[in-house]
Amino acid sequence: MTDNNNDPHRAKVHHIYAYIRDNYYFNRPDLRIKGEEFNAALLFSLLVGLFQGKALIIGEPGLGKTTSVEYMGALLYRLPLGTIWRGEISGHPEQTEEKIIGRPDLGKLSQGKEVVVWSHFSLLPVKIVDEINRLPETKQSLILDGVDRGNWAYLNDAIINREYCLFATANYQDQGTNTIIAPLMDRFDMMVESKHPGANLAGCIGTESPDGAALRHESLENQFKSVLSREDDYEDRMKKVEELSGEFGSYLEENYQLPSFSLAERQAIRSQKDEIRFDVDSHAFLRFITAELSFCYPYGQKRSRESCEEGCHFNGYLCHRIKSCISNRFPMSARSLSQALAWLLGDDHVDLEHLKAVLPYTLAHRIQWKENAVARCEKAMRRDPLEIYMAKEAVEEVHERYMEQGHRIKEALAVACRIAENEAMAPLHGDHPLYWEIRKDLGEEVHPP
Amino acid sequence: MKNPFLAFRSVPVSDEGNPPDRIMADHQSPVQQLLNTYRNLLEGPAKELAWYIDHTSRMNYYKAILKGMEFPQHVKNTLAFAEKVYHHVFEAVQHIPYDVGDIEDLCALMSFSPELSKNELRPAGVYISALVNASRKEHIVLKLPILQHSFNFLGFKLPTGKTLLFEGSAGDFTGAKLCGGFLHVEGPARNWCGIAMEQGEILITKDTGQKTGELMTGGKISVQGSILGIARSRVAGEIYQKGKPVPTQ
Repeated sequence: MTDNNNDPHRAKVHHIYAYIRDNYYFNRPDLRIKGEEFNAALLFSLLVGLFQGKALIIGEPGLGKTTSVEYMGALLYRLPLGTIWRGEISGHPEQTEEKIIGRPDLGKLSQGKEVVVWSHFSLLPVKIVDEINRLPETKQSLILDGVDRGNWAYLNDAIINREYCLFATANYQDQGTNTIIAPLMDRFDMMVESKHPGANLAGCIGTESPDGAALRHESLENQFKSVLSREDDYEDRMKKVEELSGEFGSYLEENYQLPSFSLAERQAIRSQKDEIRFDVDSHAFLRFITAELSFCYPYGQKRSRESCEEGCHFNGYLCHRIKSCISNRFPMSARSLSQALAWLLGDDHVDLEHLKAVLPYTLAHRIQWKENAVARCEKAMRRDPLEIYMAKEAVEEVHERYMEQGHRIKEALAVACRIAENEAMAPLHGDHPLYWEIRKDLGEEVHPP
Repeated sequence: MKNPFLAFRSVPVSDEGNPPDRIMADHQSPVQQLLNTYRNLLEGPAKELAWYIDHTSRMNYYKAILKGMEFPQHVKNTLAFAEKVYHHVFEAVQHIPYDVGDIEDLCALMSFSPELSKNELRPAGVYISALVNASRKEHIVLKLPILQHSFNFLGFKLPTGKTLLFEGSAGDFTGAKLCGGFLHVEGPARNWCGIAMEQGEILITKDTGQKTGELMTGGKISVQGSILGIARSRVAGEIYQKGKPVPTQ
């Protein structure tokens, strides 16, 4: 990762990445973008944390899934590790709404007053759900709304987080795990695997004692606890939390020369990111792949309960290999993460390379492949878990198609723009589902091929 | 309604429009002459062939119901009619000075033409194959990855010494009655691939459909993707999937 960066915020983010990489989370780089190498789990945790996303981190037990995001959250939000730990919830079958979201103040309740004691998890901006797939399916629904919008409701009270990011970790399937329900899965912006670092790096873990104490501050942790346990209004508590965070940030800077971010700085960074525009190719490519993941000629769109015929004309596209329709959250996640990546790399616009880098991770958990598509890939030589491998292969395949047809697709979209503005033109025709979607948007009745 | 295409307003648009519109504008072009010849053909023998192809495809869909039934006679009739149309085309296109580019343009034109119905396009592959085989060029490349309709009977009766490389999705009866040529499809082919082929080679880089190699009496079919169904009535010849020989069922 380059150190040469003029923007002070960006330089701080690079510093945090390098600090965690060199001290806490030893792993190999497995992602190369614009000539720079990254570890995908670390990079995406950083971007998700900073830009208020939701990440699902999968992997074998003990490979640093939770640890890496705890450190990341501590530095990005200036929260001591002890406070982060207090806000974590663990997925297990006995977990309840009262432990996750909030509970009634029993003392007040006995006096006839209904007061909610909010959990640290629902109050803090860094939310970590450890081993989410150990939560039974019925209990996963408890956190759907909170995960999606930061709305946490209990009894007749509710809080809306002004900023938050969410990390959930999941081990691979074993006897104690459950399936993550599709609506919850879809709410994650991306999924990444925390990999084994290899025998050599693993041998270094614990030998050089990293200054883990840097992120602990017991006195401040107690103050955070006392502020979060108050009965004040949510906004007032968050102001006080920000003041304590400022103290923790100064402590990190003075004692360890470690950068961290105030609320104002995080907001400034997010504004910079939101200003990053997409070039025409990245706009078109995102539509190109979304069309393949949602289009179905015979039935109008993909639906999980309907399966297309073998002899379908469009059997060369992804739509023929998947079971369900991609959700509207997919393009939102892809856009947000590719803007975040462009911001981190100091680029003024999102291009195909940014988009291609983030797409497999935004798709891996969202695509439900048909059995025969899975059977074709599961024994392939690979370095990623099957879901991420298949998503990477799919993105590569669609990108190849885009490189062949991109010029004409862009023209078809430009023509459509003019037609939508009432110019007398004919829409361009082609085989790719996007041409058919364009024609549908222009109100044309499309006939079967 | 919101204009969802605003992000592309700045993209320049050529005034060429759809390829078919450009070709149609030139009434004297070889492509236009070829298209007119095809239209005439549709009034004659090709009309019956279209019916047979449609019927054979439907029979294939209902194979489960028809399990145990003898190999339908109408498939043989389909091949016989295809042969009849093929010889008719050979004579009909003698005077048209077309080249390989014209065959490619014709394919695109037919595929996108709103004037030709799906039924009228069913025998088009026999016509294209006859044009390919009648051409003096030995190595022919047709790059058509974005066709709106895939053509049946591509590579029909491709003779020894001739190579056809087709980039795109091929339809039913691909490489039917192949006579020693090399048919290379960069993409998938549908049902009845290599039906009644006598000699030569077919290479399909993606998947093939049902009844691959039906009535095959010689030659070789190599499929790099998956094969949905292997023929039961293969007489001879070799079928390979991902480099491994597929035994006769």
